Amino acid sequence: MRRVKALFYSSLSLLCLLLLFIPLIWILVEATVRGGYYILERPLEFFTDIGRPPGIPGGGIGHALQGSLYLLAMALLIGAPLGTLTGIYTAERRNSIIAKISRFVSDVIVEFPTIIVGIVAYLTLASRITGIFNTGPAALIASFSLGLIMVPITARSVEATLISISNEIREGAYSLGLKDRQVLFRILIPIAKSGIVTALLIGLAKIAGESAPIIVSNGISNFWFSNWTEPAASIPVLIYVYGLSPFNEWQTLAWAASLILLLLVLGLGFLARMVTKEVWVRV
Amino acid sequence: MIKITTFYILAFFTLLTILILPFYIGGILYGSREFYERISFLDFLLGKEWSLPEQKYGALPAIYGTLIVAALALLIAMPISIGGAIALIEFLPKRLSDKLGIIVDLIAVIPSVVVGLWGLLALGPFLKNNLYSFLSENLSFIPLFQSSFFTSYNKLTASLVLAYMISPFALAVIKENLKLVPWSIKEAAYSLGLNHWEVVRVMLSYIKPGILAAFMIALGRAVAEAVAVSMVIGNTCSFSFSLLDPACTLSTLIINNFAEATGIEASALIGLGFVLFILALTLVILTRFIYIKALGGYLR
Repeated sequence: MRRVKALFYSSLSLLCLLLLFIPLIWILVEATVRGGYYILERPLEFFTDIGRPPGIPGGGIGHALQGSLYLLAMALLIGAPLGTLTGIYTAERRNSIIAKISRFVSDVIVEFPTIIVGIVAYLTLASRITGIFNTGPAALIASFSLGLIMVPITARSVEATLISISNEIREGAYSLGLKDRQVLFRILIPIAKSGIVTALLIGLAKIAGESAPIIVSNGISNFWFSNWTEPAASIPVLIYVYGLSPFNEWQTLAWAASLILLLLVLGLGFLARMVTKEVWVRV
Repeated sequence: MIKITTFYILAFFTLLTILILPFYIGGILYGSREFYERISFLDFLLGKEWSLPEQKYGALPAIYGTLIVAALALLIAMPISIGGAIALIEFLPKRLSDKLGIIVDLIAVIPSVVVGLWGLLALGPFLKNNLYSFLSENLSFIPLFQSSFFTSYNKLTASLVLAYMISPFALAVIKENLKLVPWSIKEAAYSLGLNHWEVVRVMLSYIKPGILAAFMIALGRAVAEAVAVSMVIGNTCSFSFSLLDPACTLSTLIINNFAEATGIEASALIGLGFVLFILALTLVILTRFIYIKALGGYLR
């Protein structure tokens, strides 16, 4: 009886694991079949053209690709230095009060609903009533929220990398009479290089798929990128809008865009995996 | 004169990062200023109706929807995550489980909008044709499955999609905790003559605080998720009990209407954001303390 029970429950646990893989495969197959077919059919149009009005077949996601590129580049410009430098400080001065507070803050904001980040950025910066810049929905605000979302993720991974470097190396460096700056830039950062790259890739993978803060702070656009103070198109928002539309052509485009986004995000994930073997589902 | 050293510069940037939290808190308080002027917060919080044509904005249906869908998602996700973690750590050979572990991690990085699209165009219609038609024809005497709507997009679809999105995170936490169970505990259990599954049960009771932490992390994510849920929940606010009725949540109302809202509706949406903010902040801080306690300072 005990043996039967053990067998039953162990097969149940394997079944649970299997259940997690089914939707993943389903999503990949669906995106490849429904979207990949379209991409193969009109590759040039897909990557370089903008969406067509409903009912007219064809069109592409060029504008969204371009918009995403701009948004992510600017977000990286805002989030990467802040996250990396914070991570370095919290690792190298790990017992200081600032480091302890920063660790707490990173832990809290990393789990924060991203939609709230978008709302806060919109209300304080872009809103026509309460915003400082008074621009209305704008690409720059979306980039700013994405940058903020990226900071704690990057900071924690950079910190973990630097902490894993053994103290003897620091002691050795200092005992040679090197200054803080030299120890940091000549010794520690070169050692931690791959870890820092991983941290940035993880951060980028996380914000590349974000859509809620963009929808809230940047709104929806179906055109080419024009200005940082105007809404920009982006792949996640395009998937959202086209997916919810009742038109078949647009839904196909949404699947095709999903395929691209999946390849991008999973690619970044794999790249990060290749650079180090660290776990990247971080709490 | 103060000499500016490398670490002063680093400390400056760290302080900037620390300022993000006050910026979020201050920003939402400052931004919802306009909302307090227009609506009394208590009336808003206890308002039982959310309807645009009637200009009635009450948060209660959205709070109800958020909690119901999150609870249901956790009910589905927790057993699956626990089972999956056990399978990975205990029942599969290490090499295979390492590879499968990577794939589970991959699930966590699928963008929520892609999961939403899958729920919208693949899972929803599939469930409608195969499950919901059966439920509403044969089991409609149970209030849970009684519905006047017959739609792909309802609380159950939303919970399933949400459950899929939070499972990898809960699983990762439980897995880490299972790895931390000391060998002495397992050896003691084996030496009592327990079989593999019974040892696993001993381990599970040993990591109860870790399971609670996983639960809290999953709950935080379930409450926060906006895009995927808004694509499959049907977006009709009501207090209906049935799982097959559409609903709305705090974040879905915001995401659907924030871009175009003006006047009092915009204020009410900001109010919803405020409620979500309080809910999320409480959960996040609570989770952090539970998590640290669970791991006994493992996280420093």
